[in-house]
Amino acid sequence: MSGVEETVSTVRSVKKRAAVAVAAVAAAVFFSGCAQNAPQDTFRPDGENARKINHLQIPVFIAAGVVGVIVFSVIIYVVVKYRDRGQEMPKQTHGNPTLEIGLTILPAVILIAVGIPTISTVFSLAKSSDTQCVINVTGQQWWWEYEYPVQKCGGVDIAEPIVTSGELVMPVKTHVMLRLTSNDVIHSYWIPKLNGKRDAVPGRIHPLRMEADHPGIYQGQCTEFCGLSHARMRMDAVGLNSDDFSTWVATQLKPAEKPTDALALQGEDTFRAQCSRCHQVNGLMEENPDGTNSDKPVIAFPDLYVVAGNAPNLTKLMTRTTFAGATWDLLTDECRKKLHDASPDEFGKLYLQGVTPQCFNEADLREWIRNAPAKKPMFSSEAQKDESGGKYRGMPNLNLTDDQIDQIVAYLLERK
Amino acid sequence: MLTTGSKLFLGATVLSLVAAIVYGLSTSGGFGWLGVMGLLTAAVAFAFMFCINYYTHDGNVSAMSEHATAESPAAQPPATRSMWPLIAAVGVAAIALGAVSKPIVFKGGVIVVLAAGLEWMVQGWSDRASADPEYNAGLRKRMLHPVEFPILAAVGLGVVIYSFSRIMLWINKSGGPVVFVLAGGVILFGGFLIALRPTIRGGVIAGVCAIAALGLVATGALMAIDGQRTIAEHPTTQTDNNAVCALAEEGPGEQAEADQKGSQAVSSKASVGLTVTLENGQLDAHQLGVQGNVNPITVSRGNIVNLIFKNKDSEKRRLTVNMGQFTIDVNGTTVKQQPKECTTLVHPDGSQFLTFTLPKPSIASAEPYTLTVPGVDGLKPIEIKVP
Repeated sequence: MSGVEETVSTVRSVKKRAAVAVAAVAAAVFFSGCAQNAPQDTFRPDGENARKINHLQIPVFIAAGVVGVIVFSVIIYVVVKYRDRGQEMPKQTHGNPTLEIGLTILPAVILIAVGIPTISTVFSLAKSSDTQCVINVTGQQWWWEYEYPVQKCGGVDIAEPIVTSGELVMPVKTHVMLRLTSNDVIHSYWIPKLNGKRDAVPGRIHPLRMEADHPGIYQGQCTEFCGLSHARMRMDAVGLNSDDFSTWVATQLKPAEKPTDALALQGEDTFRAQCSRCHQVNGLMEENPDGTNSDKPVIAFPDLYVVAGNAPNLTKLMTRTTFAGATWDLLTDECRKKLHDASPDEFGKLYLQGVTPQCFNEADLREWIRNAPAKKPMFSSEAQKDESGGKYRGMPNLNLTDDQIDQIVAYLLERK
Repeated sequence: MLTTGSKLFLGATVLSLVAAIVYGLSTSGGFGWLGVMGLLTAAVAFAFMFCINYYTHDGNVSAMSEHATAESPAAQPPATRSMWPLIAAVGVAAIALGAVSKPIVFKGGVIVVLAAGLEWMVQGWSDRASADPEYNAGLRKRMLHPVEFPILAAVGLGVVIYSFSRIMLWINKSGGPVVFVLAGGVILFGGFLIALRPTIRGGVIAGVCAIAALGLVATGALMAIDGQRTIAEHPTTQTDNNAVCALAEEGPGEQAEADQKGSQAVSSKASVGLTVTLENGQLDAHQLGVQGNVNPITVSRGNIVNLIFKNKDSEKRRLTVNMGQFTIDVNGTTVKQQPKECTTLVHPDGSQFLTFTLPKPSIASAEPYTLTVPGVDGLKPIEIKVP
């Protein structure tokens, strides 16, 4: 075989393999679109706002697809048919008014056809005059905090502000307005089944409409790279019907009660000594020298320890189903599956049960309390603190003993 | 048999793996694992490149031919002398010097080494591209001129602008406009002369411009060394002076000036999350994204609150944030603290920006957090709740 033949053979072989590789990747990408268990699928909206986006994106995708196919087909046809085979240079022409006007008007018409519904959708998604409930949402490394101002939220009176984290609980079929901001770096809020994404920027308020069709859990995640644990900054939106939401509000407004269990009582002391520097528990009182509770509340001061100046309020931890930025479950796998698979009619009752001792995923919570940075990459060691203005980014390892962890877990299990 | 390119990438792969192991063993905790991950990623990338080069024979089917290798232009000695090794050496020296002196010298050295490396590499490649030195030189120009010219132009312009700014910051406030007008006049006159005499040789114009630029840079350098003139700072925005924040009239001392010049303050409108308006003796608050007046308002703990205060009253007014009441222990004595922040006096129909943070929840304070305007009778404050 001559050198030229060998080269041609090699090139053909490479082309064939490359084609097979491209086809394999394309097939993988194509078939991944058929996944059924896809809680963050933008093409399956469960709320008015996401549905508006979906109604826009499908025709735009079709239009873009048709244009793309036509353009690529023409290019491939021209490239193949008129490729250089040693023939003479074909006759060159300059200026074809009909073609040029046509090629100017056609894209303009397509853009106008796409632009009108796009602008209409953008304005519709920015509307705030029909708001029925306002929730302040604050991003911080690496979790979301939700505050419910004093208001009538979807017909439910909220007499005092509520603060929670990880799970956005909201009444279904209600126009909810999220007021997004951040305490440290730029984050981005996205629950694909309920609406598009919106950045949370320090010092700015960005409104985002939210509405869920039926009770259930809608998953999402931060979509703006925000540091080491960006991938572990998740969020769940929980839709409840009006009665269940009213029950949830009443539960959240109750202050923490004194633990009943002996181990939990010890846990209260340990929590007060170790955890309350950053984590607020409403109703937790300072201790008198004789061991009784004083009438002075324990006030956490995360502003001295954490860059964000805030840490999750744990007063009602066990009314949530996740912790640590909605990354780990407080429920066992079985109970979690039962909750996520519950019908809209049963969901509220199951969710409002919170974490019961039978459903408690103790292992993950223990691991977290033992050494949080080992479970979720953060910037929270002593050495790193020096590089971060003397404050932590995330929860540090508190070097607690097994006994202390037992006590804190018992104490937290009663926070509901 | 391994090709030249594949040998390079194989070596880089092995080096990255060894470096990852050494780095991993020599660092414990902290960011050691990040470095190891980076080096392992590099090793994988190099291994990938090795496979591609090996598989494609460096993209050159004749690469294995000894005859072709010996005869190819790439095997010939370079046709031109290169200044880049010398410049790269200067860069290396700057890196060494910067490592023990100032970071800016170190960074400058790194930039010089990278730039010299790139130029050296392209020149080395273009010198061997063909047997024709003229063609090779043209090839180098085509590769690098689109990069060199914009960068050199930007650096040159930057030096001129920086020098001129140093001059303007050195001369006194009244002399500045005169120098600015004179400089503009000289440039205009120069342009006028050149337009009148289009036959003036380009070399003469270039020489004059070069001398002017040198003079400008030298003067700028001298004035930068001498330092800029003293620029007095006048407070015109908010204060955290508790006594002043409680006053309906001008504050004492420096604060009086701030109150007098309050109308000069520039208000930010881009980041306003709350608008507070004083009108007809009452305060209204409007939150972004919420319809109607809001009272109380709820803000996040530790979150920056940016508000704009609009004074629709007939008198000058200031908006004050009462940031609660706390008792702290100072050397065994209980001290009561009532922190406040406020705008300066805002003229009628004026507005001013105010930013504050409440780091503690409302339950930590003996008094509620409020927004109020001192001196307005019967005004109902707006309560701020921090859950």
